Amino acid sequence: MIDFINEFFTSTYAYNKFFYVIRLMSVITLAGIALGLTGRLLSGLKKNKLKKPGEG
Amino acid sequence: MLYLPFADIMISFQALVLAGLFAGVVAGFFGISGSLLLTPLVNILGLPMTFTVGTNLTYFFGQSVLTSIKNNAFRNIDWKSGFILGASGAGGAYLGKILTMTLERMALTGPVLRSIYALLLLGVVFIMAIDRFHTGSNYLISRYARISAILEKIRDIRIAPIIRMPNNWERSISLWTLLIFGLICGFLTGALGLSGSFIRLPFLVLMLGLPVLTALCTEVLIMLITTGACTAFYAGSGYVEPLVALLLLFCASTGSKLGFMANRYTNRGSLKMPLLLGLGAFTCGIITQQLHHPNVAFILIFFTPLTLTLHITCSAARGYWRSKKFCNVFQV
Repeated sequence: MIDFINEFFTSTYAYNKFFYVIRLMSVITLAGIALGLTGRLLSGLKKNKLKKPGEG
Repeated sequence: MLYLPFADIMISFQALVLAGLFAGVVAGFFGISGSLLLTPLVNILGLPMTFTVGTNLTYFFGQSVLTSIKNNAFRNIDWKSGFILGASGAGGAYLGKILTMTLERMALTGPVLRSIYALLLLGVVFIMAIDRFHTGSNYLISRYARISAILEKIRDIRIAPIIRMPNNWERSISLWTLLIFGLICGFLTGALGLSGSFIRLPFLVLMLGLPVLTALCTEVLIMLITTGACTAFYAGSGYVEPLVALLLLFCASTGSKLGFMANRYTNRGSLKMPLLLGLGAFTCGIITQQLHHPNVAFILIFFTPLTLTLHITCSAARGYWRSKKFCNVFQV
């Protein structure tokens, strides 16, 4: 997995720096979105868990 | 061990994960900037300073995306000041990157940036120590008045064009003041790898008169633009380690969440003294690293956040146990 990530970025950097920047920023943005949505989902689940049944 | 192809070094995977986690917990619990802790921590693990700055900025970019999604930050943004400060910040970040690259060519990045970090941390420790020993409300009021008077003087600089704040029509400010301020913050971000929130947030609230929630959301937009530009600049020069940035994003954000959760069970104010001592030891670690004592520096820099994290965990566990006991007494 780690080798794959290293290869994924180094090969793009060797090919074209501009594509590498776009690729790196896309991966980081996607990771941020995924973590943000997970955080929202978890806090939403916690809020629902605190409510009593039939509370709405 | 983890091989980092851009820096061409090996680094301990476990140490990196723990560093991200500890820095996240301490920053999330005390609400302080994680950048002041994270840069020396990653640097002591063996990553050269320029790579550390570039990688940390990439992590901050991911962190600001995360914050904007998680807190739905785009609802409450003051777009005008956000874009002006963000764009000037990107320009300043480019200048900062040029300075770092010049220092890198002279092989001075490590010593110079470490000295600046040590000075900044000493300043933070000094202010915290003064706050600790002057607890009276008169002191706080007089300090607030002094800061407001300085900001008032800066706001009185009237060089055309003047712009008005959309949610506060009585306030107006010169566009040049905003641009220069954004440029300075961006320069600090680009050169040192600092987020710059600790300067920008007071400016947004006290100077532009934005409500706290709007200021926080606008800060996220400014961070997105500035750190995005920094990521592009540093990645284009090959000074970003993507794997480290991704690991830090996962670990530090998890740690930050845990630190924030610990606030529910323990009082942050009661742990100010340990934080003060911890930051003091951390600063000593940076100075020791500068004096070429790597083992002592590693112990001070790496184990200080660990000790603080353990202290926070114990304190939160005690608070949780007490609250449970209290609930049980009432249930009986």
